[in-house]
Amino acid sequence: MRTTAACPSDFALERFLLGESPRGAFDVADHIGGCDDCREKVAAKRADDAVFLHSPGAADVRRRLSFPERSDRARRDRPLLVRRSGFAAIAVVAAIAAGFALWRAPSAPRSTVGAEDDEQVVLRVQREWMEAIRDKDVAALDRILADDYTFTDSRGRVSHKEDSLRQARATGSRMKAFHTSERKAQIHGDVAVITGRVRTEGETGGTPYDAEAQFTDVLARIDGQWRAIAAHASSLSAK
Amino acid sequence: MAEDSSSLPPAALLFERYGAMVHRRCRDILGREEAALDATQDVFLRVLEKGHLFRGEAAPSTWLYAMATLQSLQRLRDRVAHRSKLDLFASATKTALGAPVEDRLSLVALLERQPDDVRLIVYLRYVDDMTMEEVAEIVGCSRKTVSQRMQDFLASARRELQGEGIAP
Repeated sequence: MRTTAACPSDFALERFLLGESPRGAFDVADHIGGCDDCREKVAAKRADDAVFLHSPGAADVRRRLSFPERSDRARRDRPLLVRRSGFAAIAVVAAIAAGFALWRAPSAPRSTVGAEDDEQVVLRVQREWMEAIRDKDVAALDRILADDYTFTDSRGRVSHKEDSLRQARATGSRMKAFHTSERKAQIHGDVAVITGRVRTEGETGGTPYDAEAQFTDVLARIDGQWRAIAAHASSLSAK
Repeated sequence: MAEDSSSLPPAALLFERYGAMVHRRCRDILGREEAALDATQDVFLRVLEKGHLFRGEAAPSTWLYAMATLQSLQRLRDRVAHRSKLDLFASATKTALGAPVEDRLSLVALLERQPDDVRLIVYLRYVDDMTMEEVAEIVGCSRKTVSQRMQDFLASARRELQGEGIAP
């Protein structure tokens, strides 16, 4: 419910958080800048975003969305399984690892000094992540990937941390080199979004490959450590 | 995603972007975490099933917000757990009717008999206090259509309540 006639609706505040511009002349960003009540609501929603997306409940929903063909009860009781089919073809792109979660409003205030430091840290962690994939460093991957990490590829297929670790242990494919470009990090409290492009070279099943993808990685500060929680990659190579 | 045949991104991606919003909406209406989580899950499972029906001209946020509202309203059946929200809904309908209707249960029953789009319109307009433009955008039709649906509902509601001797 609105607190005053001038305050935007709850939905308008949600869209502000999403970085969307609702139709109409009412400037939500301007209003929030001068309204303590709405600013508090937006801050609470932003904090709620991070809490919810890391909650066991959200992880459960992700698992069910990954296995829609199963019954509710079966999905509820099912341990964290992995989808096996089709992974060979996307192994390289999956290894690129990118994410999706863009709840930042463009005009939302950012912290200053801390955010700059965090940007450097998350970019370093993301590079270590790529190096761990290249080097098949399972221990490093285990440290970097959060337990409920999910990866979604260009076709909408979802995989989880165990898939990434299994991929690192496998000997059938290997990334030999990677080159990233256009990397940008956005910090939103305890959540970071990194976008960019990556080109990888290697071989899978004895066949060399050279692939390029646009990625989005989402990291969260968990117990003081930046860890990957979600990723998405869109292949830029020939389809 | 450019690769997808549907105009909607996969449900899992939508969940990462809009899941928290949907969950907040469900929690706001249902009031309980477990119920909100179930409703949130149903919204995104419905995206899996019905995503092809998404109208590409609207932002996914409007579609999902409407679905979250409807999913939650459909669950507002527990008279004890949802008493306060049902009261709020009934009170909003009373405001819409502009009549001194005091029988809350009759109002709630009346609302439960309405089609989804009418219940959604009434809730958005009179409980959320949204503008007609916002309601039209979320429902996915013109402001004129929203206004007409509201007028039709209010007219039939008054007739029904008068027939039951509740409204003057």
